[in-house]
Amino acid sequence: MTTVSVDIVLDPVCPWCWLGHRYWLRARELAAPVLTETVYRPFQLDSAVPRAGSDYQAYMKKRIGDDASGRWKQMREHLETAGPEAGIVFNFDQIERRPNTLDAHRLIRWAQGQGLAEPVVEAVFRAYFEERRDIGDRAVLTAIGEEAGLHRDVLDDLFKSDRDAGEVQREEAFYRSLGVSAVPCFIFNGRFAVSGAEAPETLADAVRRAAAQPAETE
Amino acid sequence: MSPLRAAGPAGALVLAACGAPEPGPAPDAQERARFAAACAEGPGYAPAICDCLSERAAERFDETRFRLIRISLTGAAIRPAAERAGLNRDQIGQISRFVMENLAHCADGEPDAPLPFQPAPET
Repeated sequence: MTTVSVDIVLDPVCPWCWLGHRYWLRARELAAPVLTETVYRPFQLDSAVPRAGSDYQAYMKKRIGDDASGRWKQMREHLETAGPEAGIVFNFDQIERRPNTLDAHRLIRWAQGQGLAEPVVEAVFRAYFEERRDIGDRAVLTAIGEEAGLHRDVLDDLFKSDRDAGEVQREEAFYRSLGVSAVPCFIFNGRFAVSGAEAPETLADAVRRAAAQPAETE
Repeated sequence: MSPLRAAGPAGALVLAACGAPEPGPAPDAQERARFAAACAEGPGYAPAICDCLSERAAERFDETRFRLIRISLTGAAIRPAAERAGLNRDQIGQISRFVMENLAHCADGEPDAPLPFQPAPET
């Protein structure tokens, strides 16, 4: 049976990424019997956020301004409708910190090495959007990792260093160089991309399409 | 990994992604004409290449970012103007790299299009 590799480029502060991830979990079932192998890839929507984070409400006010176009309001309404349908709670008003997400991406990378990326990705999204925890705080990330099955002592040691920070940044730069400018972005067999939180059926169709084409050998 | 091809319904993507700046108005005909002139007079690219660059930039960027790319074609620094426009480091980098990243495509007539621009607000 064909296995399709799926790179999901995401940032844990992106609500569409959480929604898209939920859609992906459903799409994976719809695409059966085609098998998939998911790899999470880093993307920082704003790498200039200080490592200590910023005040969320002030950050968003600066970014959105007075929302004269109504775009943010429209987006928020869409998310607050689609989220619960996918089992997601967005508590935008209660979020206190807009974190730098480099360390969250490092945690996801380490979890991936242990086969635990999926629960860690879900836990990081939930921590930020639902539980309003500061996912830029290494203690919070360590707790999330431990809850998902990673070893606390190992995470403590890794977070004391800058281990893999460069790798995360290089990987992000690579995906940007391919043209990824918005997330989530789903890349199938390294060839086909679906950008945005598309419906599970759309993602499943992309899996089938990738399965029907020869995999890239380079 | 080779250039990516969009596999999804691009028209449905407007609001379902994070990261792309909120788009302003699209570049008008006058701005596109300025772009063509800067492209021909600055780096001296052939008209077909300039048309291609202009078209791709107009598809992907709003008027402000389009104008910054046009300025970059003259060789002038864009960072001060980009910062005044409220763009962050990543967005400025995206604009700075645009010509280089698209030149090969426009020179060769490469049929594979990169990912479409996703005009959704950053969160």
